[in-house]
Parts: sequence; C-alpha cells; structure tokens
Amino acid sequence: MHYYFFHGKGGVGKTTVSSAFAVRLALEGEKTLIVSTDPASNLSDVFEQAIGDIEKNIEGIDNLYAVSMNSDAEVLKYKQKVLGDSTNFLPKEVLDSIEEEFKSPCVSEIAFFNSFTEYFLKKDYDNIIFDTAPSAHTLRLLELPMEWTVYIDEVKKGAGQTCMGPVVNLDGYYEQYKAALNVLKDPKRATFVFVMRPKELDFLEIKSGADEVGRFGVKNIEIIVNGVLPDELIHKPEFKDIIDGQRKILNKVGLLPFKTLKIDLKNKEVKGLNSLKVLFSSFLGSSGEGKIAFVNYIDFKLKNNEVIKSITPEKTPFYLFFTGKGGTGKTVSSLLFGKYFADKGMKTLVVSADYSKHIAKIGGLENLGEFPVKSKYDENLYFAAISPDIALDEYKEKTVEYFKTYSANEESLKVLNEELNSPCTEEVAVFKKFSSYFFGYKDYDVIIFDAAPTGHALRFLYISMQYAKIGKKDAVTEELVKILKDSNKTLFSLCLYLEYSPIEEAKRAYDDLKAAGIDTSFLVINYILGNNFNDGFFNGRKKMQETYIDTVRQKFGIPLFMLPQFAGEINGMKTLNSLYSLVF
Amino acid sequence: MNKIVFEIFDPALCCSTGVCGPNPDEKLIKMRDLIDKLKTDFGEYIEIKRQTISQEPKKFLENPSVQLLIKNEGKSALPVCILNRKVITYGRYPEEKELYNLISSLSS
Repeated sequence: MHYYFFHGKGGVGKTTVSSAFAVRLALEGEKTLIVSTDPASNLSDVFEQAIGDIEKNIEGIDNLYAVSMNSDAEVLKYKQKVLGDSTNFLPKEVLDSIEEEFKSPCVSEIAFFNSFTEYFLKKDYDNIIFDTAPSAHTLRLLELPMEWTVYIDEVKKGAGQTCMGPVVNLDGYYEQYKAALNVLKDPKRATFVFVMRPKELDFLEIKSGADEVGRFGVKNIEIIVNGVLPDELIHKPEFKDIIDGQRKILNKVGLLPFKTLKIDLKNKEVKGLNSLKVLFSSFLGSSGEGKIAFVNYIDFKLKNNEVIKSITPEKTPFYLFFTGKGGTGKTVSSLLFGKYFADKGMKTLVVSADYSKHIAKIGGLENLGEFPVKSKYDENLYFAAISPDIALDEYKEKTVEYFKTYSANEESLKVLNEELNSPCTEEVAVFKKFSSYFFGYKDYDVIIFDAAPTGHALRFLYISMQYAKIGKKDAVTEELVKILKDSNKTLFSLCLYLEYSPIEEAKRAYDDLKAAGIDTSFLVINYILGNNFNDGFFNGRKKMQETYIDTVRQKFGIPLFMLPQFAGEINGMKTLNSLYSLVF
Repeated sequence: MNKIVFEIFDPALCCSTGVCGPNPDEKLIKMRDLIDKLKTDFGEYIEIKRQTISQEPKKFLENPSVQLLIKNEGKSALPVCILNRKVITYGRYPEEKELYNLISSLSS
C-alpha cells in the first residue's frame, strides 16, 4: 500500500493532476482511492459526477474510488459520538450552549483530523491519494500528529484535561495518530508530490514547502510542473518572453534533488474521465481552430472604470475583500485596486492575509509585517501582511502575560501553555490580528484585504460571526460583524478565471457569503485572452472563455471587472504598472 | 483522614483556562490554581474529578443532583461543585477560603 500527498498552492492544478494520476494507477490495475481533504473540494467537477463523504466507485473506470472529506459531516459524526442520547434529557438552553461550543474551530479540527488519520489504518487499497488542501493548511494538518502525540503524553502527566476533551477521550486515537505518523515518515509507503506552475513565485514556495516536509524525514519528494507552454511555440515572437521565463524556472527545478515531471498546457480544459486518461500520456498540446472575436483592451478600460465607479461607497472609510480559489489573482487585484484608490488621493492600505507573502515580493518590500509600510512608488499607498505564525506567537505571549497578573502558579501556567499549543489558538490569534485593522488604523480611507483562499477565508469569517453569537460576547467583535455585513462599508469581491471549477467554486463561495448575510459586490475575471494572443493554440482557449463568460453573467448577475492575460509573470512593481495601464 | 472527593461540573467550555475564547477567563484561572493547591495540600487524600458538559454530557445526567439543578435552573446552574456527594456551590466556583472551611468541617 502506498500513499501519495499532493501539495501546492491553489490554482496550480492539484486536483486535476492528482485525479489524472489516480486514473493512471487504476488503469494499471491497482485499486486506488482518491481522497479530497480540501474544504472547497472540486473532485466532483473534475470527474463530472457526484462525489461525497462516502467512498464510491468512479463510474466508467474499474479500480478507482473517490471520497471528499466534508468537515461539516465530520463534526456531525463527532457530535453524535459525544452527545449520544443526552439530547433527549437536557433542557434546550443547555443544549444550545453545547451547540455553540461545537462550532469552535477546535472541534472541527479534531473531527476532521480524526477522519484524516482513519485512512492510515485502511488495508483494502493498493494506493491512497490525497488531493490536499492549500499548502499551509496541509502542513498544519500534517504537523499535528507529531505535536499531538507529545501533547497527549504531556497532558496525561499533568491536569488530564485538554482543549480537545479529557485525555480518556483522546487516548483511543493515540494509535491512529501514531500509525499516521509512521506512514508519513516511511519512504517506502509515502510520496509527496509538489505541483507548481512554471512561475518564479511558485518555485520559491515549492522549495520552502519541500524543506518543511523534509523536517518530517520525508525522502520521497517529486515535483510536477504543470501548465507549461509547449516548446513548439518558441518560434512565435509573442511567446518568446514567456517561454524563456519558463525555461529558467524549469532549469532551477531541474537542479533540485527531486524527480520532476513536466505537463504542457492544453488548448482546452482538462475535465472528465477521458481527458484525465490522456493527461499523463500526452505531453503536447494540439492546436485548436476557428474564428475568434478578439477581446479589445480599450473596451476593458471603459467597462472597468464604469464598474469601479458604481461600486465605490460614497463615504470613507470602507473595506474591500478579495476572495477566491488560489491562483485566481487576489493579490494582483488587491494591488491594482489599491493603486487605483491611492491615485484618486485616498489613503489606502493593502493587507495581505495570505500565508505566502506575494505582496511583499511584488511590492519589493522586505520584512513586510503587520504594521503598514509606505509604498516606494505611490503616494497614499501602504502595505501590510498578517503572518499566522507571528500572530500566534504574539497571542501566546500576551495571554501568558495576562495570565500572570492573576496567577503565579507554575502548574497552571504549564496547563495554559499546553492549551495555547492547541489548533484553535491559531484561528483566534489570526482573527484578533484581522479585526485590529478595522479599529486600530482609523486614518485610512480604504483598507483592502487580499484574503486567504476561499474555504479558509470563509471559515475565517464564519468564525468571527460565531464569536458574536457565543456567550463570551465582546463588543469589538460585535462591531466588526456589523461592519462586515454593511454593504456601504464593506465590499466583497470574488476572483475567478474562465474555467468550469473556478466558476463553480466562486458560485459556492457566493452562496456561502449570502447565507452569512453578505452580498458580493462584483467579480474579478482574470486571465482573459486579448488580441495579442493571436495563435492557433490560444484560439481553442478563447472559444472556451467566450462560452464561460456568458455562463458567469447568467449565474451571478453582478458587475464584472476584467483582467487581461498578461504576457509574463506579475512579479514586481514594473510588471504591475504595465498591467495597471491595461486595466484602468 | 477519610478521602475527600471533589467534583466539578463545568459549563460548555473548550479549555480549562478559557484561552480559546476572546480572552482567558479570570475565574477559570483561579479555579485551576485552586485545584492545584488542593492536590499539593491533600495529595493522595483527595480525588478531583472535572468534567465539561460539551464533552461529557452523559456524566451530568448520571448525577441526580446535577441533573435536577440543570432541569430547574438551566445553564445558569453551571458550574456545579460537589464535595463528598454534597452540592456546595452552583452557578459559581467556590472561593479558596470557603472550600477549605468546608473541607475542615468534614474531618471534624
């Protein structure tokens, strides 16, 4: 039995590549299970059939099974285990208070993690493939078993009470966690596959990601560079820069001590069993044909200026959130809008809540932290970045300090420190940082958040709503939720590009926000192919985009902000400014 | 000296120090310290049992006094503290002095 873990930031094609890999193994006659641990899973979209939280055989192919872990369902299972038939005997008011506690991030982490580790006890498959959630979340998930086994040992000696419940409740999972840990460390049983696009920023992330898993003693690491423009296009002058850039990246990847595989960009989307079957066998994109109505950048500008005027609130300060699946252009959108408002004379702050500090890289700012730093290039424009690690450290420090004003007891301090290492603390810490921008930085006219990928971002917001509902009320949080729900003060925007999955995911995010009482103000459509991409290869993709733009108009019915496909990577202020001149 | 059994039935809380909420809870920190002091002072002569309703609701139903209090007073009955099977406080934790007085009255 072998386990494969697919890493990589959102939008690099993890689900597609891991699904294609699973299909290949199944075709070779090996019984294979693909597990999605992503809260915003799109396994169903890729296979074009419903995949839920119960393992099922993929229709149309033998030996292939799939399951999509659903945190809500996991929490429900955990809840039933804890509550049993107590629900029949406890008064409603008491049950409500218990229910609220089940909504804490802690409980969903445990429930989710328990199910995750269950797969390491399975014996009835030849391969299990994890199409994991965005990298930071995944690493956290993987890091947990080590800390937890130590944690359980420690707590057993101490108070016997943990954040996750009494030690007795956890003990049953000890073996399960240990089994998971052993598998992850065993090169004969586990392979980590990092998926990236041929981009500088992706390369840097993959490199640090590989270092991090190396810490666990993982030796089997492979890299897949996905979406490489086919070499046959090198003789076309308009692609020369892109292909040269790609080659540099591919060379760097080649120098790393890992096995690598290159997958060329296809001239149409990879979706459905048949296209998955050919993905691993074909490495060259074929050219599509047909007459294309070219999108004109001048029209973009007119339309975009109209959209931004219509959505800008009359009064300042206001807040703007960009959310969406990874790789849809949240950071670039935040920077473009930041520059736009700053140019209009508004004091603007762009806060990156992303785990990877793209904003710092693009803005040429080293050591960017939570305190706003003035842009080197634009008057009125400031940047800041929330780092979950630093937020957590600060929160721990502050809490211990606060604790010491009430107690000098060493044992209690030990318990407190144990509890501060539990998974929910990070969520609390990041949430605190996040809310501080709404209250601590009053002299800005506009604050823009480059929020984390969809699933995480939503959980993030949902948690803040729950805090307002939980008994431990705090006025700051209540005020924050009020601001978030007020469309004259806070704007939400979803970023996407014109393919099936990003559109579907944006729709889910849109519905989720609506359920939380928030209306999305506009969409950012990224990577629109303009008339400078005038080649047989891109014509197929252009046709696809045209069809999808109609779908988007029908599904959402809100203003669309258009970003063109840029010939090259946005990796600094120079490239950002060129894009800016095409957009506004 | 007879064995002392001190039972605490906590309301729905995630951590024994309350760090999971917006702030650590002063009352919870004090209670933690008190438990620790009891363990130091009485050693093997004391048994302390602590349970949270959100994690082990069944234990709350198994204790008739706790069940009755919850039925009558709702969640404001919690926490319930029991010393040698007798309810000593509900809706709050006992003060250190109060608890020590009660313990000394047990042995006299």
